[in-house]
Amino acid sequence: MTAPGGVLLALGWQAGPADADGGVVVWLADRPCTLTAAEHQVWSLSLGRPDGTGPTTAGDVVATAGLPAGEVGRLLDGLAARGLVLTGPDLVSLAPRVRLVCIADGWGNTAEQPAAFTYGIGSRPLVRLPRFLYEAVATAHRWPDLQQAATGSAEVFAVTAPHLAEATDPAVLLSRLLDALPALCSTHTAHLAPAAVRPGGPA
Amino acid sequence: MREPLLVPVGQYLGPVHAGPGRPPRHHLVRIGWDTVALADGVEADLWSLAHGRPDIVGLLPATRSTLDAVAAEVGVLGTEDAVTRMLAAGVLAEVPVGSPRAEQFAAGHRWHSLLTGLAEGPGGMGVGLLGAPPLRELTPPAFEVWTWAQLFPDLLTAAAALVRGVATPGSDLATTDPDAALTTLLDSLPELTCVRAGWIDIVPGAR
Repeated sequence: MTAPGGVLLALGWQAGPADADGGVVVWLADRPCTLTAAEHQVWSLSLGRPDGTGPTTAGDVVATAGLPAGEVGRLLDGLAARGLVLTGPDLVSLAPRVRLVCIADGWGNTAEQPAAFTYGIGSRPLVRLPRFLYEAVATAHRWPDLQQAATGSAEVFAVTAPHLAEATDPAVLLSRLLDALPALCSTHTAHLAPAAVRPGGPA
Repeated sequence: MREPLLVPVGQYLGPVHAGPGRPPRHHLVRIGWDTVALADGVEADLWSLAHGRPDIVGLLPATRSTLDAVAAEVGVLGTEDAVTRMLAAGVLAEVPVGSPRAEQFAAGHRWHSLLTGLAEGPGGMGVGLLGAPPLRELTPPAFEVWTWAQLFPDLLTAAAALVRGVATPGSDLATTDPDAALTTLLDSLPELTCVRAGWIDIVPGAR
């Protein structure tokens, strides 16, 4: 069973309803997966807490799902077996296994808050980030996985923003991206896909 | 003969204000690994309008003449030079549907979907933000392009794959004619871009 203390990452892009009973179609790379309403509830909770306070654990999902712990565990195990949830001891260990894909609109910054760059959908702001993180999120899909995205983006920032230690150190940038994942994914600013299998560099 | 489609290209990253209380220095559009800075004002307004304005019924700008009409309707003037500059910068593309140039465009560009899928409504499948009303209910061809086209390395391959049968049977894309599938795909783009349901990028190495 999924370890209660381990971290979770939910993978997939929600593309619409599957049936009238609350089932949902979630795309995992090029594969459509149908989730029951209960599976979708647990999957959605595994996306992370909107306030972005730390990674999500199986224990968090049990605490918020309103379902018996055994049932949540069974659902998580099923999602994990289908590749819709990844588990691990920490997020850094999962970074080479996922690709970050932004699905929101870039709104840039404002004259009132020039340091905060916003992603939004429709008329609703979703996430505010410092510029280097905003740009790293925008380009992350071009790399096969999140670890390579952090390394590649840090190389770019070493040229375009060499004074920003947070942006130019690959480990620090990866840490900042991982810290942002719960807020990015739970607000549907971005989703995680399985790491691309294609060899080599960025798309 | 049809007027060419006018297609916006690039991932919009918004205005950049250089400091508190200052106007936007420019608007960022990313194409491939390049960034294009659109001037605030006519240029950025026109590029935004080229995505379509679903609230202006009957004037979804898919061509240069409809873009001019919408721009005039909302008071954006002096469009000709700005369109010429943006065509040269690659953030706009004129695509003569049904011609070899359309295939060339499709082979050099790809689709990225944005938003999430919501419930089906009377007008089609809703897309938008979960928990909020749909931004648009997509027609079947547009929904299929939104769902499938992102899986392929370029628009031409996407259209060919749709011909091979990945599209829902009975849809406008379920055709055996690759040219017809590409035309349907290209004609679906304004319906998607008008609510920022996705964006078009260049294929790596195509520029």
